[in-house]
Amino acid sequence: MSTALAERVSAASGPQAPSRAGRPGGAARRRRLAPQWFLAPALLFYAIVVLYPSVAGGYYAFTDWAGGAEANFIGLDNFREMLDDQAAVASLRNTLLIAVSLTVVQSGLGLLLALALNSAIRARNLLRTLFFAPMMMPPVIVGLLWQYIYTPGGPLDTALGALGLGGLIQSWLGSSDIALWSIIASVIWHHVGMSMVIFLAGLQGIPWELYEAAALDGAGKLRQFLSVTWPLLGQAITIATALTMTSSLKLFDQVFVMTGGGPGVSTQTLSLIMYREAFVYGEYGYGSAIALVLTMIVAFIVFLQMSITRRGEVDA
Amino acid sequence: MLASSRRRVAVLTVAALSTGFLAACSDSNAQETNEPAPAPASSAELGGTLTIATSSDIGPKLFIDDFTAETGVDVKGTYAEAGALGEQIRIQVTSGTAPDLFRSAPGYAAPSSVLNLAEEGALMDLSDQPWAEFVPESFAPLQQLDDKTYAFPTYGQAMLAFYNKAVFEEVGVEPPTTWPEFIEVMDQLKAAGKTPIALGLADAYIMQFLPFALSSTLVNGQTPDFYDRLNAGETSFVESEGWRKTLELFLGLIEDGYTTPNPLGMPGDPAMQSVGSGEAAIVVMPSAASPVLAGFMEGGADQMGSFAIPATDDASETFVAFTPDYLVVNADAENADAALAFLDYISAPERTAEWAAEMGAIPALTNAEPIDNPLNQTVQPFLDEGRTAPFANHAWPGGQVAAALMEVGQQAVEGSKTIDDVLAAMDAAYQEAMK
Repeated sequence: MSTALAERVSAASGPQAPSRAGRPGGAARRRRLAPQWFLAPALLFYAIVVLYPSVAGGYYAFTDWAGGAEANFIGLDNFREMLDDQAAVASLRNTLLIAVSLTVVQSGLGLLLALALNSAIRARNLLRTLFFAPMMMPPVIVGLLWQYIYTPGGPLDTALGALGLGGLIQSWLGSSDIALWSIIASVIWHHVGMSMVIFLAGLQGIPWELYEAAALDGAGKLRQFLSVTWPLLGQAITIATALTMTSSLKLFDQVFVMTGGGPGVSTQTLSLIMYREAFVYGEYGYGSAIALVLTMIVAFIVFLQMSITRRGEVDA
Repeated sequence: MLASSRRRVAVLTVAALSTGFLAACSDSNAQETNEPAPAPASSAELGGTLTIATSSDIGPKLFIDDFTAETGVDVKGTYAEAGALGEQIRIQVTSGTAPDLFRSAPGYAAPSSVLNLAEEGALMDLSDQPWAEFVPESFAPLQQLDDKTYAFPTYGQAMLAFYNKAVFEEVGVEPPTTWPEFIEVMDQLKAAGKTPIALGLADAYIMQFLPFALSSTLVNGQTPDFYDRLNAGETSFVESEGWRKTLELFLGLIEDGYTTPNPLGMPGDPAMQSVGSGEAAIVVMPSAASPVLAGFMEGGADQMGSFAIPATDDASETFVAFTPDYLVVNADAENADAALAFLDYISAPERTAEWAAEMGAIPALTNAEPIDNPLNQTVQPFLDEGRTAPFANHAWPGGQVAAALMEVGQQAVEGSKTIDDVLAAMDAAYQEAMK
């Protein structure tokens, strides 16, 4: 900057602020701290209802606390017990299967629906509402509804019979081979609207000019999707898959209502056995250990998944 | 970098929520209490608020208004399904916020069961209460610890076969009294195109009902000391002929097509409704659920009959699974006087009978006025002859054994496990619960 220009800028800036050297600390620091004092009540509340229970829960995972006054520190015993617990191992397998299946299928269906309903079809608003409507229902109600639909001789069997597809009729919730998939289908029906809305928001944020430019370059619909839509949907994909992954790793309500984890242990999830150990058997220490493991799994998988999906994000 | 750190913190925080709620119920203020509760206070000394939590408002609401008018005590009730209530009570006891008077399951079956809570000093000793002498002796193992009584039996419920009378009349069969007669009835119902037994095993707890009914005869009736010996480590479920026979008969009914097809896929309510509609004939369940079944029947309770399920060739060997429902007093009750007074109030013979009748149950105290209803007529002969036994799970040391029966039992129904597997799983769960 030239000396003349510096002088003009200085003149345009008006009176100089007093030098900080003349007022060490004082008002400036107080101004900086003031907003943080306003945060204090919320932070205190958060610490009491979230942080303290979480840390205490972590501690109880290393104890034999059974609900009474005593909680003895037992090191890693709860975690060793978990490795020998067939129900815990089966529930971990089921939980991971649910999470992967739901993330892939629900996100895929949500994207397809969003692409279809982002077009100019006349009934798009009605269809968006219809596909999103199940999201407004509580999971327990959805569980009861689908339990009824899957009842032997119930609506699903009747519909299949009427369509001449009677050979497809199964014991939807009564077979160890099928029950988990029946639950996954009901969860997809419940949540696909959420994925659809996230992808719709992403699609509507993509500038139309990019498609016009791609079309002028001779790109067909598939090339436009691969080269324009997919890269620019990166943020929506990150959000949709992260939300689906976290909610499916913690899936509880629908399983609890529809099968209770059965037949046998075929639909047990980590959330379900955590609940059972803690609140049905009163083994709060062991239940806390399962919760801690679930927490670690959720944190690790979601961190991994977000790291991968965020790499593909492109700003419009 | 900063954004990335924030994301990590956010992910960890969201994930941490799944552990948080388990710890929110720590800290216990339950204290040892060895002093028996005082006699109920007179009305003049009472007042304040009495907090009650039970699994149904049907019984309490009969008397709350009159009790309040007579004593000036304001009664605040909380009502929830028994399982959920038990879980809630367990947490409240631990955190010192349990109501003054609450429902508790018999024995040790759940963390909130009478004897588990009594062992940790969370319940008031009720041995000196005026009604204690009228508690049936057979209930002692379910509510006494060191010869002290810790629970008030509000009513008893029996595990029975409930049937649609119209279906029985249509097919021309009578309630059976022996196992061969039972199978004969099954055959006739099946031949008439009816589902003999409605079975909804998609709700896992229903897995317990038929085995409990059969084991009362085959285990408690045939080997009365089985659970004492099991507890002493002298025998096991695998070694029990009674339990093996129980599961053979139960699984045999399914294999022979006497139950709802694909019972593992059928929830409990639709199964019960199928009896109400006449599509099926019989459902086995605790008597406390009978008002629900009556509601599904066109003719209401008049169309519903009941009988004890036989398990042998000799009718005189049949036992009925019969177990009490309890109210207990919190050792740290804020208004213990009112709690004791309320129990004293409802223990009057006519009130005990009224409570039980309203619940579709059987009065539990021995001085209760008899109820002349069909259900009582089914159960009373067994009570008179001492041929009753508690529901099997009430003799077990925790919920794990029942869970093993339900989980591995479902797999046995499906065919992927054997009876030996079920019994071995019950043994393992018993050992686990005894730790």
